[in-house]
Amino acid sequence: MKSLQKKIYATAGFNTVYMGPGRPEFNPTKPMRSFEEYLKETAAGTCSQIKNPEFDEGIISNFMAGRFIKQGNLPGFLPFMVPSLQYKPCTRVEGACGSGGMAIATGIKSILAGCAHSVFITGFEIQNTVKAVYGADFLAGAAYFNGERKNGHAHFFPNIFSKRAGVYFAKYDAEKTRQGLAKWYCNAIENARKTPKAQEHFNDAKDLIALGSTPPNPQQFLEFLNYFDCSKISDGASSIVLADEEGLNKMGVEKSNCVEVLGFAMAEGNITTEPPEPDFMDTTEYVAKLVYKSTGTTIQDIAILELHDCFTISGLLALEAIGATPKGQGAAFVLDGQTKINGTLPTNLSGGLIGYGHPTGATGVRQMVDLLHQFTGKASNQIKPKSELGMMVSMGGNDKSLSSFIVKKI
Amino acid sequence: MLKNDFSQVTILGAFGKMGSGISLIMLALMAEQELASTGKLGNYRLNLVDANTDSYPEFLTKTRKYLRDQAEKNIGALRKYYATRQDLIENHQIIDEFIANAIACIRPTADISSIKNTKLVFEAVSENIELKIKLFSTIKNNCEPCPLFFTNTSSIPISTLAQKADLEGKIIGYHFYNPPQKQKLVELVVLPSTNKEHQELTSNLTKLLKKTAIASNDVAGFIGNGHFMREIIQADEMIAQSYESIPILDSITRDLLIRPMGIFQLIDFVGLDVCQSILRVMSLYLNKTLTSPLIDQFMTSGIKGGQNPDGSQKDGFFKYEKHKIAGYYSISQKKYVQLPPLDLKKIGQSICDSYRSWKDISLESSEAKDAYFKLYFQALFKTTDPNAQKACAYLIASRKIAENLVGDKVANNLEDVNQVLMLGFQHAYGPKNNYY
Repeated sequence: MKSLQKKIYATAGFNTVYMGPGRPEFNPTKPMRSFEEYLKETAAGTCSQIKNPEFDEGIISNFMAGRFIKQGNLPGFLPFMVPSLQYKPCTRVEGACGSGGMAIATGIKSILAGCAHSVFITGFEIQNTVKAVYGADFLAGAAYFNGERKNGHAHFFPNIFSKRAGVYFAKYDAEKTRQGLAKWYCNAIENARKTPKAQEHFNDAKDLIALGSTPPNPQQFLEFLNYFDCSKISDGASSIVLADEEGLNKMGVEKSNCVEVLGFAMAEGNITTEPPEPDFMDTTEYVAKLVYKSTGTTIQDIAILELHDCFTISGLLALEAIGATPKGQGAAFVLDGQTKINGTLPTNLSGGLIGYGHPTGATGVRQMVDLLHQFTGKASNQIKPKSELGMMVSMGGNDKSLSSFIVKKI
Repeated sequence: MLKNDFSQVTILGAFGKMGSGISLIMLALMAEQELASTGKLGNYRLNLVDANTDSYPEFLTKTRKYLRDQAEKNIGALRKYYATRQDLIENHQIIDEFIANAIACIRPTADISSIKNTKLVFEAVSENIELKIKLFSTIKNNCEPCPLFFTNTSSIPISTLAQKADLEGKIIGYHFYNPPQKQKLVELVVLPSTNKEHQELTSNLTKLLKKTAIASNDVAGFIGNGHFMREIIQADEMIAQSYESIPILDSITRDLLIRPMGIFQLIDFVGLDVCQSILRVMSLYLNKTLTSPLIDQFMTSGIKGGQNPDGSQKDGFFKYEKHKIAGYYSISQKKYVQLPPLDLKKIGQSICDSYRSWKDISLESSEAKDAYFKLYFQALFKTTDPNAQKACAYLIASRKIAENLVGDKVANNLEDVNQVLMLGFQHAYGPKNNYY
C-alpha cells in the first residue's frame, strides 16, 4: 500500500445540524440562524476537541455566499471563527458542491509543500435565505451559466440529473433502476434517522419505498426524477483539522483521535462541454482510478464509502464510476443491499446528501468528518468496519470538479 | 365570440372583499391565457370598476404578492413562454417580468360608462338589486356585442336580475366563496334560457380556475346561504334571548360539532350587516319572513363584524385579537367582557377518548375522518351532558334544513348540500352521513 510522502492526519471533526425543510425546528417564516452562528458553532466544536487549538493556516470552502448571503471575502471569517488564525494565511476554495473536497485537498497540499503543519478546514453554505425557485439560479452557477442557463429548466440542476436518469432508463432496465433509486432514498432516510443532526432525522414516513417510487411528474417538477430523488436545500457548516506529525504534537492531539489520509486525487472536467456519456460519470471514474493508483488500493479494500448523492441517480452513477459495480448494475447493487449498513460496502452512513442534507460548500468537509467519526468510533450510526480503509468522493457540478480521498484507521 | 375569449374582462365592485379576490384570480387566469395563446402579454384588459378607487394601491400590493405566488408555482411554463426573450435568464427575472406585464393589463376606473368592449363581466357589488341592474344596463348599452355576465350574488334570484336588466340568456349565477383566491367552491346557477356558448365558457372557466362548481336552482339564497341563514335563525331560537349563552352555543357548534368556527364567529366573519341584508333579500324573494332578531338587536347596538381591508377580523359578537376570540359583547353591560370559563373540548374528550378538533381531523384522509366521526357522533348522541344534547339537537335541525333545501328544490340532492358545506364552509362532514 502506498502513502503520501508525509503522513497526514485528519482530526477534530464537527458537523452542525444541517437545517432546512424536514427539520421540525425549521420555519422559513421566522428569522433563521445566521451564517455567523453556524461558523462559530462548528469552529467551537472542532477546537473543543484540541488541547491547543492553534493552526498554521485556514481554508474555508463555500459555493455561493456571494448570492445567498451577499458575502464575499470569506477568508476573513476564519480568524473570526478561530482567533489563532489572525494574521495567518487563509484561503477560500470554490468548486461548487465539490468545494469541501477541494478545501481538504488544498489543505493537504499546503502541508505536503511544507507551508503548514496544521490546517483548519471549514465548509459552509446558507441556502434558505431565498425560496428554492430563486436558489435554483444561484446553484445553476455550478454549470456553465452563460452557455446553459437560458435554455435550462426552472429546476436547473435537478433537471440536469433528470436527463442523465432518462438516458440511463432508456439504456438499462428502467423499472429496476427506479426501484434502485427508491431504495437509495430509503437507505438515506434510514441512516439519517439514526443521526440526530441529519436534516431527515425526524422523517417518520411509513413507506419510504413507496415515496421513492413516486412517478415523476414533468408538469410539476421533472421528467425522470421525483422530489424524493433530490437532496434538499440546507444551511449548515462542518469543520475538521489536517495535520502532520509535528502539527499533531503542537496541538496536543492523540493519534487515536485521528484517521490517516492515505492519499487523494483531484480531477477537473471541462465545464463548457456536455458529458460524453450521460449515463456515466467519466470524471468521477477518472478521479477514483487516480486515488486507487496513488494509494495502491481497490474498491474491494474499502470498508466505508462516502458518495456525493445530490440526487439518487448520482449515487447510482457514482457507484458505477468508482468501479463498485459494472455499468448498468448500480440499481441491482443497491437493491441487493450492498450499500446498506450491513452490506459489503456500507455507504453514506449518516444519510448522505439526501439524508444528512446538502449545504453545498460544507458537504465535502462533512463527508471527511463522517469517515473520521466512523473510524474513531464516534459516529451516531456506528458500524464495525470490515477493513481499515474508507473512501470519499466529492463532486462539484455535473461531474466536473472532483476530488477523492482514502483514509485509514489508526 | 371564441370559447376562450378572456381578452377583455370587467369586474364590478373590484376592490370589495369578494370583488378583489375575483379580480386577482381573473388577472392571473387572463395572463396565463394570453401568454399561452399569443406568447406575450400586453393586449388583454382587465377593467376594475369600483366607486371607491382609493383602495387601488392596497389592491396592487395584494396583486403583486398573489401573482408572485402563482408565477413561482408556474415557473416551468413561464420559462417556456419567455424562451425567446434573451434578456430574461433567471427565474426571478422571468417572474418579475410576468408580474409587471400582468399588472399592465389592469385598468382601474370609477366610471362604468368608460367600459366599451368587454367580453365578460363579473359582478360583485353589494346585494342591492337596483344598483346591480343599473350597472348591468349601462354596460349592456355601451358594449356591442352584449357581454356575458357572471353575478356573484349569494341571495338574489338570477332570473329576477335577468328579467329586470334585460339579460335573458346572458347571465349566470357564479357565486364564489370568501376568499375567492383560496376557496374551491363556486355555486352555479344556470337558467333554462342561458345560451349554450355561455354554459360552455362557464364550465371551461371553472376548470381553468380549478374550482368545483355545484349547481343550485334559482331560489333566493341558493344552497349556501339557504342553509347558513336558516342555521342562523335556528341558533337565534336556541339562544332565546339569553344573550349570555352566545359564547356557549358558539363553542358547542365549533368544538362539539367539530366545525372550523362556531355559528356566531361565522356570522362575525361574514358580517352581521351582510347576514341581515341577505335575510332581507331572501325574505323578499321567498315571500316569507326570514329574520334574526338577535342580529337586528346587535346591529342596533352598532355591532357589525366583517373584516378590515387587510383581512383582519372586526369585532362582532366577539372581540378579536390576532384572529382569535378574546371576549364577547354583553348586551346588558354594553361592552366586551371576558368569556365564561368553559372548555367544550374537554367535554369532547370526556365523551370520546380519541376526540379530535376540526383542525386536527381536517388534515386526515377521508377514511380516517369517516372512522373518527362514526365513533365520535355515536358517543355524542349517547351522552347526557346538556351541552352535548344541545349539539345533537343542533345537528338534527341542521340536517333538516339540508333536507328541506332538497324538498324545496333549491338543491338537486343532499350530496350537493354536503359539497357546498364541505367546500364552501370547510365542514369536515356534511349533513348527509351515517354518523347519527
